[in-house]
Amino acid sequence: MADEGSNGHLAECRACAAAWEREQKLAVAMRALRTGHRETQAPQRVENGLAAAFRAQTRLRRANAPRPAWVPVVTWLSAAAALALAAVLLIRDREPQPAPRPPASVVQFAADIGMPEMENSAEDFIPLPGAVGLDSAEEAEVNLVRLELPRSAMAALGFEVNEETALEPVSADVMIGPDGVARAVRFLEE
Amino acid sequence: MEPTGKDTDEDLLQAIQRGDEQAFVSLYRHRQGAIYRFALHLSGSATAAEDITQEVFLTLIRENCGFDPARGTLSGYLFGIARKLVLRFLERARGDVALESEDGDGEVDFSVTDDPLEEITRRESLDALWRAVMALPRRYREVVLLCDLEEVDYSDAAVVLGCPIGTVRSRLHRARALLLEKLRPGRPARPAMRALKPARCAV
Repeated sequence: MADEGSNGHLAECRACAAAWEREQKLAVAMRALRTGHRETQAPQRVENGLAAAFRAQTRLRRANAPRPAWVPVVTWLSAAAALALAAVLLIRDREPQPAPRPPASVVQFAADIGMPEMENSAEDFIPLPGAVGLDSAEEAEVNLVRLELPRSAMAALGFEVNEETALEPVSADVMIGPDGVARAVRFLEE
Repeated sequence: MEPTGKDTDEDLLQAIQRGDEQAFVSLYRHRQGAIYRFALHLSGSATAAEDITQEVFLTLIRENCGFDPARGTLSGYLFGIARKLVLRFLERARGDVALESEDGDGEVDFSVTDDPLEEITRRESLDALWRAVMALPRRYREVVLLCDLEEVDYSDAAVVLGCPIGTVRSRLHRARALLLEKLRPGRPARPAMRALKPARCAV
């Protein structure tokens, strides 16, 4: 764009004024050309191919992603904490006891929350030694927590455990009362 | 992540690197037209332009796409890749077909009988201008395509072309002078295709 000084010269010099005018016309023509060519786009198949390549690359990246190092550590720490909890509760009574019927509250709890699978399998829950029964108000606030425990925890409750597999994890549902104390446990695998 | 209108190219690139397909599609749709047109008009081949556009955006999918924000914008980076791929295509094509000379001595004739700059709204005028642009030597054509047609700023163009900003300005100035010369009314017609290099056979 011409400034004041240039404008002064253009007013005096016809040759430069003519050249300036032609350049301005060229600029206008370029703008028109630019507008006309905006319609030219890559074919849709290019986008389709790229999207497919992106999805494939993302899947490959996720499949090859290494698990974070903290995952197994946290898993075993959780299992160790649960084992410690079970050990503290079980250590109160060292004499083996025959497995008593699950506390009525466990069966009632299953019935109350409408979990037929739990109701049917309530018998699978093994009360922890020394577990105190729940009153009706407490039954409504029972929490069920699924943990992975070392198989050795099963031995503490009267199960036979192979020494070689003692440290292997086993899934278990632990019934915890509103006071945070575990009441019963059910192992999901043998 | 649902890309918004305010996401910058760099925001979208970060989302792409986190695996966000929507961000990738959004960035592609925003930039593909300019990249495709640049590749098309510089290479003269729609097929090559399609392949080059695809290759340019495939670099963004890679784990380390190589973009350095300290060196320029993402747009400039994409144009730079496109340009390298076009030059590679032209180099390969050079051995098979004759192309116009690089030094601009033998411009393709496109004689017009009237001054197109007087009637810029006429389609023929724009066609004449377009032919003139496409007849420019490559180093002038690419700067016109970037700066005048795709509105890439001088600093990005400098990154794309691998030259100082001053060189971009001077080439653009020279290109415009060549265009004005070509489109000068009353310019004598020259024999067409006179200075094309003879075809070299791939033996």
